[in-house]
Amino acid sequence: MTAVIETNGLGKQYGRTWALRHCDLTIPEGKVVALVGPNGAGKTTLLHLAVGLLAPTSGTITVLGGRPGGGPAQLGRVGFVAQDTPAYAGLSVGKHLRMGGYLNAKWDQELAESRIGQLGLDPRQKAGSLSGGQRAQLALTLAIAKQPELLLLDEPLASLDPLARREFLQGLMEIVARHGVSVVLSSHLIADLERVCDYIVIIVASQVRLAGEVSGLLASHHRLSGPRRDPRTLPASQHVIEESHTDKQSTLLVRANEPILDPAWTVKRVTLDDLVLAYMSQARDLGPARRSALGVVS
Amino acid sequence: MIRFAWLQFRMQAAIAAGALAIVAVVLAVTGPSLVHLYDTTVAACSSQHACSDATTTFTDTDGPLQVFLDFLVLLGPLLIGMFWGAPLVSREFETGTFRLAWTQGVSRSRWLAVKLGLGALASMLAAGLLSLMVTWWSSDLDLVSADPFDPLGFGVRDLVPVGYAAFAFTLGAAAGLFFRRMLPAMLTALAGYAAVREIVTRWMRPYLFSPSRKSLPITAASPLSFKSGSTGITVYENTKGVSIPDAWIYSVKIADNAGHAPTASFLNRACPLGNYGPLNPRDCSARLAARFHQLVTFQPASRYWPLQWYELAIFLGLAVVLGGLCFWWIRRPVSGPGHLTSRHEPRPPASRARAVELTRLAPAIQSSRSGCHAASVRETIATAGGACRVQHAGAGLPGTWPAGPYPARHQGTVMNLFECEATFEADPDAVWKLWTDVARWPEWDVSKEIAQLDGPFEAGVRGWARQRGNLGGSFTITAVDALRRWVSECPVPLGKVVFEHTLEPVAGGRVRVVKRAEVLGGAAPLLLLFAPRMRRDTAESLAALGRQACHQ
Amino acid sequence: MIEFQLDTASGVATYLQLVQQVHQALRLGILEPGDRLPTAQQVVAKLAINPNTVLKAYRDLEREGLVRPRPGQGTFIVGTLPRSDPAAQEQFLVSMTTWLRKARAAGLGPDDIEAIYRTAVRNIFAEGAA
Repeated sequence: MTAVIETNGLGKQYGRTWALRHCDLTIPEGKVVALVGPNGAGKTTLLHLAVGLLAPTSGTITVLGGRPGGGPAQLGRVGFVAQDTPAYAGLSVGKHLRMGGYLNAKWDQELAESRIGQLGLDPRQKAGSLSGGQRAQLALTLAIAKQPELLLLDEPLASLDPLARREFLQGLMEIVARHGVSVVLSSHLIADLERVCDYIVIIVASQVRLAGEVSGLLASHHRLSGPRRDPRTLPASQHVIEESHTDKQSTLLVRANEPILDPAWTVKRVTLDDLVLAYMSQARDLGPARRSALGVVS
Repeated sequence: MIRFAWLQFRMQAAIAAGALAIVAVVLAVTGPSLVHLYDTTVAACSSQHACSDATTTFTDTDGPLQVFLDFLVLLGPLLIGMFWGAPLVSREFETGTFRLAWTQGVSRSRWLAVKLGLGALASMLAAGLLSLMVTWWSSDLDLVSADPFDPLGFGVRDLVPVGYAAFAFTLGAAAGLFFRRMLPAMLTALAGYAAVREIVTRWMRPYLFSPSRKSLPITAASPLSFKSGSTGITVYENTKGVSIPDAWIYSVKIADNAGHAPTASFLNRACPLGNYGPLNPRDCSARLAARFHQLVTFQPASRYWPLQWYELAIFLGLAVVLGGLCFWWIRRPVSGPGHLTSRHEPRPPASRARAVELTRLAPAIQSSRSGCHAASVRETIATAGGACRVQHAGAGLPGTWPAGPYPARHQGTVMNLFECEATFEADPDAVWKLWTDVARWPEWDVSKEIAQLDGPFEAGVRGWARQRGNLGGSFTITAVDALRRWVSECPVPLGKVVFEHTLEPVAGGRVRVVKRAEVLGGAAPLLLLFAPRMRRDTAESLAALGRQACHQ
Repeated sequence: MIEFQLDTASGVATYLQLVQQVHQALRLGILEPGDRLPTAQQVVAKLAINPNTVLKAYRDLEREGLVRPRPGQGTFIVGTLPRSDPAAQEQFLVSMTTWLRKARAAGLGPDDIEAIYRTAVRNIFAEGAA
């Protein structure tokens, strides 16, 4: 399977801070990828590196087999919606579409116009007077009408109300179903992405903590509860991600590839929400300087 | 890209076109009358006196408009630099739209090239048109009065405004690219443009062509000025009066054929001064003219156009250099950390109100027998109250009562009073020993003041104990299951209280002790009053048991 | 045409919910052989879920022999679920009611009965891998 984004030791440094570090990812094509992490973790940095707005300080990144931002051909294969969906406030919706046509080789004006019509946007309305949700839909239309192979969206849902969020995701999924684009969607809210993503990358404190297919991750993580127990007594094949104890009871979130056979444990499934929170809090406890010992699951 | 750049530029172009149109209209209205006035008065004047009157009247016509137009041409390039050049790129950075523009299908260089090119061309066109219109309108006026090489005047006519505009535009654009903010870019455009213009005007223009020299005789009409100083009298010629028309006079010296200036003694004899200048100006001039002449350093009028072209080339060259700088800068990675955080950063909301208790296990969970972790004992005390459960009639805890000989039930009420437990690290043997050594209870159990047993620790043996604050009473051991369980009974009015003590080892080298109290008989409800106190005492005594066992 | 719903709180995988809803529709007669299922595009445009989920559900249904895709036209129902005999259902309802009466008389509450039922069902029907 070809990878849409492949990074190798990718890092970006500003002065003395590393915005992103030791990033090794192989994101397969045809997936809807959730890029999750707290604010400032490095998600935007990764996306900007993938789209050529930034150049790496260390390591390499390959997008669709080419150098990010390298020439009009490469730019035409990747659609990008930046955080806060910037648009030209003085230009109308219709003029934005014309801009798309002027600047992109493979521009589908019909698709763009029909989508704008479906969304109920007035082509003569200036982009500056659109609501956040409408601007996000406009930005998505601009990104998709150039018929890219990969869509990168930086926190597209952040400033949208719940209805706008739902409509945006409906539109996005429809696009994925129709055109088969790969999508990478970043957010600090996992709740919105649970229903749409089938691959997840968790970035905390400028490092990738977890990356893999959602179904595989959910199958290999379990919540164990039972009598109080030192987690170090667990077999080595079971990695503890999160633990909490009362005086009588222990609850652990473990990653294990074989089934848990110890009868002392009650084994429950884990939701994606639990998983993300567990890795995020584990990363915080480990501290940003230490490399995640658990590495990357693929 | 060109069409897109035009799309973005349309509004500014429209404003400029509108302004130019207004100027054109004004000039078209007033121009012809000016020409007519010139033709009828100045050109046609015959006598000296009439001519000077006509000239004065003519040059005063539309005076404010003249000033305004010159001002407009002077400021035009500056405005272009500040309002066309500076926002060109910096606006895109400030609004974040560069992230939209640079991820379309055009490379950054091409994007910049088209925007810069279009803007520069438009600037030059606008400045050129303005200059053309104003120069045409002022042509007769210039004929009459203006000095073509006037430092300011030179810059508001003919070709040079085009160069100025191109330079100002690219300066603004480069500043915008460098600072990525509009205000610093505009200020840089303002200051930079003014500085460069001043430098070129003062220190480059005079040296672009070497000046000519010429000797002119001193005539009665030459405006000489005399100055009396410490060394005597010196004489100067006012450069304004030198009669080389339309030339740029650099300097005038009074010198003789050898190049020497008149000496003070000569001047004292030739031009004695009164209060208002030489006493006899005509004689003075004649005497000077006999031996001296004016040595003029100047640029002839013919140098006007070459200078215009040269200055145009200088400024166009500067514009090209700045443009090159822009291209070099655009290749740098541009979105630094300041651009990553959006201005209104959304707060990360808790996706779920979750109480994840991430208790760090005390680093020394020691499995060794000796040593007792303070945490575990503290834990017990902390949970002592909570570790006691109260149950009432009827609802028993299924499965918590261990199997085994159970006190026979009386007819009537059986009531569970409470159950207290504690878990701690200790050796089960040691705990059992402590717990069943009745005589030593008061040593570790604060709640017991006196205790004694009439015999070995076996079923059927009687004992006596006094709780603090009580009168004390007897108890009987009714069951003993070594190292696991023992049961005692205390008689109370209309019944008895049964205490069951169990001990079980749990994982991690720990021991769990449980004490349950059950009331049999009619006085049960009364005992409820004492239950809280008993519970507290029991919890404390179990904790004390734990502490004591640790220190064995 | 069937309209799918999604219950995010149920803990059941999305694709499984879609499969179950098709089963339910077949059972109730809402879907019959020859009916067309909504396209993945239509489903996700309403539910905002990953299209692969829909495709996975449809593949599962195809494996069960209930649907078949026709290229260019859509996915069509081709089979039915075995429906149980109404008379047999009535008979079991009677015996269950009797059993429930006895259980209640013995002091079992609704939660106890539910626990017993779930244990029994789990034991009898070995559930396939989810």
